[in-house]
Order: sequence, then C-alpha cells, then structure tokens
Amino acid sequence: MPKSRALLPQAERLRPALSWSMARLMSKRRLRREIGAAAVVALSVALTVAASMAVVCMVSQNGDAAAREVATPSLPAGAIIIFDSAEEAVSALEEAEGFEGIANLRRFPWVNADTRLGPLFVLGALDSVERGTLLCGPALAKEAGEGSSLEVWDADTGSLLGTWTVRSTGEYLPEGEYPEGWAWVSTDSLGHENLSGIAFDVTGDPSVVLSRVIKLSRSYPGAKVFMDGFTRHIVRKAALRAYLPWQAVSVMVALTAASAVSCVLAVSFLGRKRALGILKVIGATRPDLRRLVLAECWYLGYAGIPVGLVIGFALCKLGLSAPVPAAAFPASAVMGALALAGGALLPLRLTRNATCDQLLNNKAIYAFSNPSCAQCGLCGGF
Amino acid sequence: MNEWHGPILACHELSKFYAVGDGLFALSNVELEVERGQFVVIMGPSGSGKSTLLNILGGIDRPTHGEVLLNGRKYSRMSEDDLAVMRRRELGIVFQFFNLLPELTAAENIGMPMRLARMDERDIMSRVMHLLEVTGLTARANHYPVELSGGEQQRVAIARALAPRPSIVLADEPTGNLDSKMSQEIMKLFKRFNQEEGQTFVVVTHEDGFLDYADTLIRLSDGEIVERKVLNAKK
Amino acid sequence: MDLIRLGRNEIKRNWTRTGVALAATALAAWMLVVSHMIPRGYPWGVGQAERAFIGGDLVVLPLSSRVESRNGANLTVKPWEGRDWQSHALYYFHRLSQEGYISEGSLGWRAFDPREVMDLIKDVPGVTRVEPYVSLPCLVGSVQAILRARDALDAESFPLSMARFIVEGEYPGPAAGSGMEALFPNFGGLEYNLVGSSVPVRVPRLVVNPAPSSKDPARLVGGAFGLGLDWDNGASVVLEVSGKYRVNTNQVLEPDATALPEFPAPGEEARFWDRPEVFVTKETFQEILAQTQAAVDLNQLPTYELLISVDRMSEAKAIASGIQEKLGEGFQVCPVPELKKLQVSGSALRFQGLDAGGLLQVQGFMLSGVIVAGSSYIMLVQQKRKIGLLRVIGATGKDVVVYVLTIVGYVAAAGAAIGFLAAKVLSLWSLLASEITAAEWIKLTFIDFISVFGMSLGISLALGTAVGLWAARVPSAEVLKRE
Repeated sequence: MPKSRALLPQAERLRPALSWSMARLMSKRRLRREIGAAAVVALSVALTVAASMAVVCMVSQNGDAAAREVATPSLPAGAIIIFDSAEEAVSALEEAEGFEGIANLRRFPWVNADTRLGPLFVLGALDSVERGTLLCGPALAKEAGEGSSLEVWDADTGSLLGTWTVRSTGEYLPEGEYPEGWAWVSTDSLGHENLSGIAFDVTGDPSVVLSRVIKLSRSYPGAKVFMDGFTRHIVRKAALRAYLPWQAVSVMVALTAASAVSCVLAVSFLGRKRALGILKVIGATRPDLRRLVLAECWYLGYAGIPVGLVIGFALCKLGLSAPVPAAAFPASAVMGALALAGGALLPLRLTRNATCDQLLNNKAIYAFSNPSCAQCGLCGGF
Repeated sequence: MNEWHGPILACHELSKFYAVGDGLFALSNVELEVERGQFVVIMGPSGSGKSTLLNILGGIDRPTHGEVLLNGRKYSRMSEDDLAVMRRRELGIVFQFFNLLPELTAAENIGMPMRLARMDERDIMSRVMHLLEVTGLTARANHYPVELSGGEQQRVAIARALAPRPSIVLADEPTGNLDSKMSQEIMKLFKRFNQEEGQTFVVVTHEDGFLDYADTLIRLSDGEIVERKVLNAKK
Repeated sequence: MDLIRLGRNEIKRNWTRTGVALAATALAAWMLVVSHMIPRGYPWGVGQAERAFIGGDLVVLPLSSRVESRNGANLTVKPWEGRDWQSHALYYFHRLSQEGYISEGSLGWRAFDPREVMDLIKDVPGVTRVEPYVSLPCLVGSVQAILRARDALDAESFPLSMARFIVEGEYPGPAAGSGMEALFPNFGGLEYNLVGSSVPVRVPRLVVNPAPSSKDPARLVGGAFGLGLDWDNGASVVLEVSGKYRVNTNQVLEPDATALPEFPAPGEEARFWDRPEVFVTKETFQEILAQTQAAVDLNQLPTYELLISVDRMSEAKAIASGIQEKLGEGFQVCPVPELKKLQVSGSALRFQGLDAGGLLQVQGFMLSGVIVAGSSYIMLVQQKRKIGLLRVIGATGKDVVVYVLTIVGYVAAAGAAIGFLAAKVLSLWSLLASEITAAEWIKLTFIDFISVFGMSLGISLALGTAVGLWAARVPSAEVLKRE
C-alpha cells in the first residue's frame, strides 16, 4: 500500500517565493513597456502630493501668520498675573511659592486706567522707573509723543491718577517688543496699599510653569495671565483648527487620484490576466502575485511622490509664496502613498480572488466575491 | 519524491459538467493512470474534452466529480495556493499558445519555476544553461519573447516546463500553432527528454507524428475514453 | 449606425459597474443641491426670545475674527477691558475676560462711532434696521442693573418687539406725560418693584474721551473712544415702573403669536434670561443723560454693539457675512442664534477659515467624472474585441467616440438626475419650513439644474472623450486576437 504524502507546510504557501529583486525587475520592465498608463498613475499620485502639500502649507501659513502677527508680549518678567484684589494676590503668591522653576517672585500694584490713547494697564512693577515717568511701548510712546505729558484716569472711579511724562521703553528693553496697552510707573506712584498683581521669572521648563500658572489662575475668576509665548501658542492652535476643513480638499484630490489609479491599474490587470495565469501555472502563489503588484506600486510611488513634492514645493514657493514647513514633506508624501494604496486596492483584490482558470481562460474575476454562479459575466467582473 | 512507487498520475471517475443550456458533460467517468517514464498521447476530435482533461490534470480547472492524484496525493480539492506550490515542483505545463512571460528573457523564463521552487541559484544557472543548449537556444538566451520566432518560443516554454525536473509534463497541443518543420523539431525534443532523462509526458495533440514516440494512446470522444492502446514505440 | 442604442444596451448589461458610477454622480449632484438648499440662516422662531431681548437678529461687536493681516497691521492679543453694561459680548463670550481677544493695532476693547459703521452697512441687501446698543450701568437701590435705551416697537410690525415678553403692565410710552417710565425685569432682585411704583435709580456720569486721531477717518471706524464712568458725579432719578418682563430663552415662537405661549411649555425646561436690563425710551434716556450733566448727545454716543434686523432669518448667515465683508477685520458679525451656540463652546479667539465649499463641490464632480469615465474605460477594455468587430462591420472612429460618449453621457445624466431629484424632494420640505418664496425656489431649482448637469456632463464628457479617442484607435485586427 503506497503511503500518502503529507501536505506542504503552510509556511511555504504563505511566504512569497518570488524575491523582491525579481519582482522589481519584472515590474520595471513592465512599466517601461506600459509607459502611458504608468505616467497617468504617477501623475495622479504627484498631483495628490502637490495638492496636499499646498493645503498643508496654506493651513500652516495662516496659523503661523496669525501666531507671528500676534505680538508676543516681551514682559519685564517671565510671567505676570493680575488679580481683582490684593487678597487674591496674597494667596496666589503663597501658592506660587511652591512652584518649581520660578524665581524672583514679587507682588506689585496695578490699575485699570483710561487715557486719551485708550485704555491702559498701568503697572507699578519697576522700581527703576523714575517718579513722574510713564514707561510704555514704542508705538504708544510715538502716538502720545515722547516726552509729552499724559493724563491717566482710573477707569473704575473716573478719578485722575496723575499726569506723567511719556517715555519709550526702548532704552530699558532694547530687544523684543513691548506689550502695547501696558505702561509701567514706579511702584510708589500707585501706592503700596493695593498690591494685586504678582510677577516672577521663569527659570525652568516654560510649558510646565505655564500649565501650573493656568491652573493657579483658574481658581481666581478675575485673574489675567501674561506669559511669553503663551498667546502665540493659543492663537496658532485656534487658527490651525479653523483651517482644518481645508484638509478635506486634499482628501478629495486623493480620492479622485485613487479612483483614477484604480481604473488604470484595473485595466492594466485586464491586459495581463494571461501572464498572471502563466505565473500561477508555473507555481506562483497569491503572495507572489501580491508582491508583484506591490513592486509595481513601489515604482509608481517612487516616481510620483518626489515629482509631486517638487511640484508642490514650487507651487508653495512661487504660487502661494508660502514658507514650507518641514512636516509638509512627509505629510504630503503619506497622502500620495495613501492615494496609491487606495488605487492598488482593486488590483490587489483581483489578484487575491483570481483563480488560474479565470486568468488563463479570460473568465470574469470579481473584486469582492468570487461566486461560482456568476460566470455569465452579467454582473460586471474584471 | 522518489519514495512513491505507484502511478505518477492517476484519476478516478473523473467527470466535468458545464451548466450551459441543457447542460453538457465535458468529461464523464474518465479513469487514467500514468506510470513513471511513460509517454501518453491523448487524441480526439475538437470538443471531445481533451483540453478539459488536461486542465483538470494540471490543477487549472476542477472536476465536478472524481479525484486526481499526483504521486499518490489527491489535489483536485486543494486550495489555489497549494496547487501552485505543488505545480512549481512536480508539474510542468506547455500550452498551444506559447505563454512566455513577456517581461522576462528566454533564460529568465526558463529559470522562473526553479526560482519559485527556491532552488539554489548556482543549480538554476547550470540547469538553464543545459536546457538552452539542449533546445539549441544558447544564442537567444537574452532575447525577450517578442524577439523570438514561434518555434523558439515553444522550445523556451518546453524548457521552462522541464526546468525544475517535475514528475510529469503536460502539453496541450504543443505543435498546434507551428508549421510542420517546427513541429518535427518540437516532437524530437519531447522524445529526447523522454528517452534520455526518463521524463514522463502526457500530450494532447492532433499530430500523428507523436505516435512514433508514445507508449500509450488514449482516444477521447464526447468526454469518454473510447480507445486505450499500448504502443511499442520505444522498442 | 445605431451605436447610441448599442451604448444604452451596454449600460444595462454591465449593471454593477454602471451602478457604482451612477451612485457617485448622484451623490455629487445631491451634495451640490443640498448645500445650496440649506438655508444660510435659521427658521423664523429660532432664538426668537434672544433676538427680541437683544433687539436685533445680528449683532456687530468690535471684535476681530479674521486674522489675515497681510497689510502688515499687527494683531495683538488684548486683555479684555470691557464691562458687562457695554454690550452683550460678555454674556455670550464668557471666557473673553480670561482669554482676551485679538484686535488690530494697539487700541483696546473700544467703543465706536455707530454712524460711521451704519453708513457702511446701509447698502447691504437684507438689512432692515440698524440700531446701536445704548446703555449705562445703574443701581436700583443696591441692586446692580443696566439701564438701556430702546424705543417701544409696535408688536405687529416688529417681530422683535418686547411686547410679548411683558408679563404685567406695558412698555413705556414714547411721550409719557407724568414722569420717566421704565420696563423692569421680573427677576434678578428687581421683581419686587411693582407696576406703578416709583423706583429711585442711581446713574453715573458718562465721560467720553474722543479718539486722538479723529482727523484720520480710517482710524475712526473702529477707532478708540474711552467711555469712562464717574459715579461721584452721577445723578439719582426716579423711574416709574410701567411694566415687568421675563424672557424664557428656551422657546421657539410661532410667527403669528402675539402673546407669550403658555409656559413653561409642556415637556420643556424653562430657562430664563438673567441679565437685568431696565428698558427706557430714548427720550427718557436722553433726559437721564442730561441730568447727569454728561456732555454727550444720545445720537452721537459711541457704542460697543450694533443690532441689526434682517428681512429674512433664513438668510441670516449670508447677510452676516455680507456685513462682515463690508466692515472688515475690526468687527465680528454674528447671527444671534449662533451666539447662543457659541456660549457653550465659545472662545474669544475665533478665526474664520476660508470657504472651501465651492471647491469641494467641483471636486465632487471631478471624482464622479473620473469614476464614470474610468468605469467605461474598463468596460471598453474588456470589449476590445467587440470594438474591433464594430470596426470590421464599418464603424468609423467617430462612431466609436459616439458610442463611448453615449455610455458616459447616459450614466452622468442619469446619475445627476437621480441626485438632483432626490435633493429637490428634500428641498420641498425646506420650502415649507423656510421663508423662501415659490418663485425663488423655482429660480434656485433652475440654477441648481444648470450647475448640476453642466458640471456632471461637462466633466464626464470631457474625460469620456479622452477614453473615446483611445477606443477609436482600437484596430479592427483586435477581433482576430485570441483572448
């Protein structure tokens, strides 16, 4: 009695026998022969990449523009918190003493003032300011006239706080902009009785300090926080969020490209059914055929994505005159790859479902099912 | 693969039914056994089921009923991928239309089944060189199929089918598309491999010339075997 | 040769693929029509109570919402400097006081000259009435309230009249003979002031610091006025309570309702407005201003908020964006029902993204066009033999192009028609629910029809022609090829 031979181990079926180098060789030669279809696919991918890059640039440009053009207050202290009352400031100061990464913690008086230049926060936080001098940002100083006198009223009571000589901060704070709408006077000009603001310098990690400061300010309803880089951060985030729907544009481009790629690859699949059938006859398994399709996609992406990046870069630089963020390159490359992958889905399904018989004898192959009853071809196979 | 001493290829109660119109039996109750080293020729009029039989024997098509065994292993119910893995080692198939892979050269076409069978690259090279020499194609080794004549393409196809030293080679009208001079050459090639390497062949053909080399003749008509004749060509 | 009929048969034969193409086109058409159909506003009754209380369908606040200062103007995050009495902004943007807002230049939260802004808005279509928000803080006994100048509006011709929210008494008349009358809220500690009683009210003196650069008209629109308050030099006036009001913000009112619905409405939780505004007529307000000896005329008083009534709430958003365009970056224009929503997730830092709607609609048709042309391309590749056969029996290249265009054209037109009709059936419902007239609906239908069929057929036929030209090049020898 002859003994039956064991089936092949499953691993042999699942592991592609076709080497990558062989698959790439075959794909390269094939694409060279079908240069028209390959060009359409690569161009679709390139278009997706370029469109995605333009959108990413535009969104980030707007976010950046918003963040950049919001003047970051360059404060005389790393952070300033002002409160509605001196009691709040005292308890906040006690709390802030426990913070790590801050130094030079102090309290100062401030008033909410009205001037002919508009409302002004007047802070008595700099002892170095001469008495009778109001130190303000260059723009405000220019508007008021440097050296001119400015009447300052208390906005709440309407009483005149004083008439001070306007001086620009230029000499005190030569670098960085000065927050407009703010002015500084010597501490004793406002009196020591209402020390309702606290200020400190940041020595540690700003983001850690920021989060603690925000937490602190939340427990005082009227507290206002001013911290370097803080506003820029929120503004950028808000702007990016607002422009997010524009990503739908690049998603639509990617979908359109994927459909076009899908059609072209499906047609190319139709043209090579017999060749794929022969490959199966001489022993290629589904993983082998999949590798062949993927190698082809690799070449198409290899051609399309860099071209798209170049077009996109040129478009952003020349068309939009936008700075291109570094993240735009990988992001749009991924978008192009996704469009290609989306387009490859159909041929991959077809190679998966195709039997040797269907391929060799030009019978219909179905993308989503492979019904044996559907050989009449009435329900649209490939 | 040498442990098996039964018939290399066997089929029992093989039937194939096509649900077209009133229904048609392409094959009914075909019994066949092919021994090692045999040269079987299948003949019959058009539509007698020869090609269907060969497709089923090659694992390309599946029977409606019955079993096919290669080296004692049933494969008529195997999965597509198992069939492919089996074919790459044990079955060579030659078609009427030359069926070369257009993106590969003659040498690469011949080497492909051995590469799929994960044979050693040095063995592949020497085997390819040997087959090119035997088929007289050494000078055309680096030509693509479109650059070869019909006869040359068919010789490459035969070399490719023989390359991994399969247990059996199936050929479907291998000379059907060639002129008589080419056909002679192809037939000689079959004979040479059968007699020198002991290669087992099952050939579907109209060509009477094959009868000079064959051990067994099987005649099909309307899907049934109507004649089985042992020839003594080798003697 | 009757290739048109052949093409039609082909569509029917290859049903799955045609179905995908049809669905894609129909979806694109549907989306376009629906996006046109959705009224850019709100049904009549939405936010009715809020709108009546605020006194307008839209509000204009001196906030900046667009951050696109290509002209080089610096945008600065300003601390909030406003007070509750100055406008409804704080009521809606409740985080404003913590987060500040973005404004152009260095001028803080500001009052603006309403006349300048009203001039700009005048010509915007759909605007029926513009009124500045005029108010002062006041003390009714020890209760803080807001004294607001607002004329009695005839309830029949003005849907935003306060009349229907009066629970007792009536709105102060325009020329009250005896003394100064006021409509008091029936909440917030003021509910104990009975109708007919006289209530002493303390009002501060208003100090106006005019803009320094009033010579420059560009700066004046949205320019700076400091409105200061001087409580020491205010005046005490006696107001007679002519009526009491209460506003439930949670109700949708019927257009022809003249009185309050029975409330709390069944199954509805009543949410009452808690902003204590005491309404007086403009004459009364002017008289109070005179009593405080403030050197301002009511008609020239800078304001922090403008109230706009529109002729149709269904177009509220479109009108708001029209006004926003006129006013530029220094202002924010919001429909009041939208503000209501913002109260929940509102942030002072609001940016308006660019409108990508039109582009997305065209892209939708591009996508469907690619699918239509692509599926017919696949169909034709599978029928190369058939095209070869057509050539053999005498079809010219032009015939083949016609054959392809028939397939593409039928699918695109049928898909567009399905999507168009499906969307229009929906829009019949919107015709009932909104203020769109039948004539306008027909006009919109016509425009939709043109754009849907124009885009769908245009893009599909353009792509289909490329496919057709490819098919026309299929030689008759194809018929001989073994498949």
